[in-house]
Amino acid sequence: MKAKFLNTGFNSAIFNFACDEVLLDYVSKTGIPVLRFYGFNPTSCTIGYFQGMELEIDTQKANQAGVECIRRITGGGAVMHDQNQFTYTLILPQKLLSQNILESYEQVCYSIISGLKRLDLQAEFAPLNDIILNNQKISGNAQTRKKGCVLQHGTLLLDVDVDLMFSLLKVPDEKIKYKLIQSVKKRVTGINQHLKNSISFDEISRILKEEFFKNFNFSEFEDLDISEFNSTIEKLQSEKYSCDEWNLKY
Amino acid sequence: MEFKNYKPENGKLLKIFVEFTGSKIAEFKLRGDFFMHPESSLETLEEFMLTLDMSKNFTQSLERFLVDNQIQVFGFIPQDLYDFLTMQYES
Repeated sequence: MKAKFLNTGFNSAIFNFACDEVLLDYVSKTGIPVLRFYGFNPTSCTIGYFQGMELEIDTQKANQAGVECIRRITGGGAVMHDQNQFTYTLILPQKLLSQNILESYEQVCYSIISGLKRLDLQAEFAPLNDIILNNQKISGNAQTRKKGCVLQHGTLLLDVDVDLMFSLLKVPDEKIKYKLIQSVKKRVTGINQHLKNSISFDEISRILKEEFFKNFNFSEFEDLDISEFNSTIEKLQSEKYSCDEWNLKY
Repeated sequence: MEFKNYKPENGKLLKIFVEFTGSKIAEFKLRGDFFMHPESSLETLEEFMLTLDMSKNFTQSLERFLVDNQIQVFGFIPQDLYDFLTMQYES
């Protein structure tokens, strides 16, 4: 089966999530799977669909720092996205993945894991939605099922700045903040810490594109030109992802 | 509105606002880093919780509601909500 591929580079969170939603419609209409690679610039925070913005993010601090705070269409936790991460979105017709949601997370994450094996990193799937390396989290993933499709997106940490993360994400008890940061530093890592030579966004993209291609038995990757969706993406950016009605929904 | 944190064993971090009238739930809001499919089910679940009585088959009623409405939840189970709400109710 043919699939479409696009690398949209580094963009704002509102662009990235509008783009995901437009591509979900595309896959729903055409039945053609789409794989997209991307990053975030400027730094932004995203919260899971079921989270309360004010419960998770210090929005005042984020506003002062020019950090966009956006609600995702997928569940899961709050994430700080900076330029030291690789992000993917895979959208498939539901019939191409296990109907069992737990299994389907693993199916998609397998391409990340097999790609990391090529770098001699023995990463493992950690249910429900994480990938770990030496018991430290390197990747968080989230899935939604809509319009007959599965959309899974996820972040792979190349490097991680836990201090910056905790300056923006709220900690339930400020008194244990220091302790918590130390504990998160032990539980989260970027893959570059485990490599002799740091890997770039472009290099990890090349490897993972090959792994997704192989593991999903795609016969061909055709490039998808994002510019054909520009007007719909712009509309979603201004009418949904920039709006309090969406971002402050809960 | 004060949300209280609750982390079930092997579950996701839940943030819950609840108020009781007697043993019945008068107000209920659920937030957190869990997953629910379809996502639009959250409001239906919150509404359903208002029909529940802590003293009458709470867990079974909630389990049946999820099955009947084809709602899949990852990150907590009905027993987790019951355990948390019981703590709140009793306090």
